[in-house]
Amino acid sequence: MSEELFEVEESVPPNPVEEFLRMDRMPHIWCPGCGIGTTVNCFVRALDASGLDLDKVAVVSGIGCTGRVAGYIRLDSFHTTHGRAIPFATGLKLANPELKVIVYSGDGDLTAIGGNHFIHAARRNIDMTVILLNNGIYGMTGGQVAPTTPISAVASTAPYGNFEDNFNLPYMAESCGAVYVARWTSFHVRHITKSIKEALAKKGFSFIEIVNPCPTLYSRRNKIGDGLDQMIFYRDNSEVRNGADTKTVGMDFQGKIVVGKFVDRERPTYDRAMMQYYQKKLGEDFVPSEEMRNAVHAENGN
Amino acid sequence: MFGSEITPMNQPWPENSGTILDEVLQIPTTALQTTVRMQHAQKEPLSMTTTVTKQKKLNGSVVIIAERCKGCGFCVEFCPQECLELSSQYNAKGYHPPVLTDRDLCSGCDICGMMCPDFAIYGFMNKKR
Amino acid sequence: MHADPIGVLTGRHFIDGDHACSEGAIAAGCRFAAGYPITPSTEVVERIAERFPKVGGIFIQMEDELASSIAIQGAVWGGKKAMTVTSGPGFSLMMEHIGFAAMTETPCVFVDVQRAGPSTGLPTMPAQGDMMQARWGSHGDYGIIALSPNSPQECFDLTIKAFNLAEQFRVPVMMMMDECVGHMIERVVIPAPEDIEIVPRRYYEGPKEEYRPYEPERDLVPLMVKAGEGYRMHVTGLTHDEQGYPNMSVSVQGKLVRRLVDKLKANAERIIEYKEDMVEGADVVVVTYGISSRTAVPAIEQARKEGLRVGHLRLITVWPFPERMIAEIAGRIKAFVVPELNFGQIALEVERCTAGKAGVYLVPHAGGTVHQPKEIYTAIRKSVKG
Repeated sequence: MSEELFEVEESVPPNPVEEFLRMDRMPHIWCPGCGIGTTVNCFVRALDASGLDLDKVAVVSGIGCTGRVAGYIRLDSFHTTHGRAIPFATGLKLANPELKVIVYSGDGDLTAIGGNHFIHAARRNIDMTVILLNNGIYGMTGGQVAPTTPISAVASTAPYGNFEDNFNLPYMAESCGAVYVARWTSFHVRHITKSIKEALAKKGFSFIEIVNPCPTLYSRRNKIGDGLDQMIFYRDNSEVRNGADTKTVGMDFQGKIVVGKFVDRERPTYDRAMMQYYQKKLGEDFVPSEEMRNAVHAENGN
Repeated sequence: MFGSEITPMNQPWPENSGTILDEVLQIPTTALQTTVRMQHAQKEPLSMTTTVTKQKKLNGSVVIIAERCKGCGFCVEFCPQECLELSSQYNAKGYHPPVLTDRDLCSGCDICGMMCPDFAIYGFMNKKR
Repeated sequence: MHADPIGVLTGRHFIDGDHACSEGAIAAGCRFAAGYPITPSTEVVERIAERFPKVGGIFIQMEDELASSIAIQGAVWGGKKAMTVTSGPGFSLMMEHIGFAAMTETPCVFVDVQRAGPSTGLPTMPAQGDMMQARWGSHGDYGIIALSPNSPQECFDLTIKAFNLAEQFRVPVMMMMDECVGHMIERVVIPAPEDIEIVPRRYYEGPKEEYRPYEPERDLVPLMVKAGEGYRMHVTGLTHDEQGYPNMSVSVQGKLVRRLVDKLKANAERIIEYKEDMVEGADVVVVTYGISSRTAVPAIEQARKEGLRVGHLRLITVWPFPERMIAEIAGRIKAFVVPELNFGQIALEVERCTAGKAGVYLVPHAGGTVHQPKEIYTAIRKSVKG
């Protein structure tokens, strides 16, 4: 690079993220070193790049630290009951299929109490994007064991260490029928943004797991450092294997983390399948809802 | 209590006295200063200011909203140019916000902005004239 | 406004209460339903599953009652009128979401076709054991509206009323049917669409930047919006301020919960509906609701033949309970007789409002079938003596 000086015009732009956030509710409640805010940054950047009409984007979350995301994003947002973000989102989407519905919640919320709804929405291929932040613990309530807590990790309700095997979430999502399955860690900011953008553009049940540090509870109790230490761990111990067999991507305590885009396939979405089926069976008698009709027309470019 | 103006470039900063940041951080670098802005949560977004300056090498800068920082260290650790460090000053909550150590190294890549869980820093590229 | 003709099967029908309820929902403009099979309510959603694709509605059988009761609320915020249907065990599962609907002021209808409990109980047999649960089933303080039909015709009419009340007061409304009324087949007359009065959703229509989602109107009910219109609203089950934002202060909690309770109390006179027969000048008043009101009629007629002055007060809205009316009647009669297919639920309310001014005689029943008129007659005679 030459040592020549060149002239630059310095104009300080506003933070591009702020127009997507409820700035009147800042600062948020998340702990120092918690990665939820990082993923929100990625989410917002993906939204910005997606070209979606933001008035038609809705965020639904459940209860927990990640569940608080809905309250901070300046879109139509719904902070629902524990585990039930997905069925709420199902009703919302079917009532108005033109909405882009995103479920943003935690691992305990979506796979413990909400597990049943998760598998059925994936099975039905309801058109929604599920962003699951997996910190392997129930953070908001003080650090209890979760179905994603790895063996030997200590939690407040597993004080001697957890002995239950934990979920392999990408495997679960794929086997239930999700059409897009990816896993990243909070460290992989660019990958997360890209994945979210792809998932938003994709029709069907898209699932993105983001492994996320919980410095206050999981990391502290298990003496693995703070949020930054966990992020460094993610950087140094994750392996990008796009297209990996999801059977092989289970996570152990402080073990290797396989990340990547694992599944990207096509299946008819619930509402399209419904429309086509009723059209076939009922013909002239079929009266779709006005919103369904508009959504189909919009999709067909009418 | 907190100001929302950007102190213009290339002017001497006030000497920092106490432990609470009142105005802006002064970084003893050769070229331009980082813009550090105190922002109360309710305030309006920054107005744009434009100045023309001379610089060499890379072309980016960062804005740090010091009062939002919770000292997690992500930006410092993951800046690809390694040009951020946590300052010795601290904000009202007792955290050390980052500062740009070498203005010429900042590429404006905004990895810090993507990483920051508290929306306390973001990078941008300047326009070359 | 009037019913959309597409949904209305004008004419005379010979159908059961469950099916009449489905038709009532369709006539009321309900275009989203979610449910889970449970006897004796399943026929409601079965008919809806068949009719909805022909009237622009969407029915989805969800994986459980928890999902059904929240999916309808998602649909409401998406702009639809929505309903779910269940019986005792499913009603118990739905309690959390009834609370969520009350807290977020989501207008929706919950149909409970009651069966004998507790627990699995007698799935195919009637009872009225969920009446207190309808009012108090979810945790915390809030208000709901509950209607109690006693015939398939009323199942049709009151389902429409349920939707109207839900929209008017932004509150979950319970349709408290029972297996007997649900499976009884009788004539149901469905009027012409222009004779069916529908209350549309109370949407806000002012400037977007001035919209405050939970700022009440004069009747304590805030105006609603739906997702997708650019209001960028936030809806949460946490205690929230008028902007809809979570707020942990004690004063906000006080203000919000007080309004949720007062919303029904202050508007009680506009909501309460009942039918009275010879209550004026009576010595004994039989207070009934639902199927028990029909079995009480022969008992009352027999007692009147024998010269007793017996009035019949049939509650159509059971919640809000007509406290003032009961208190006022108690001052001028000897006793109330309350036959219900349970061990005393609405009787407790009657007793509370009577405040000792008159006797209250419960005619209990464990459920499984309806009262014998003789039991009610015996109670009437006893109440006169005592």
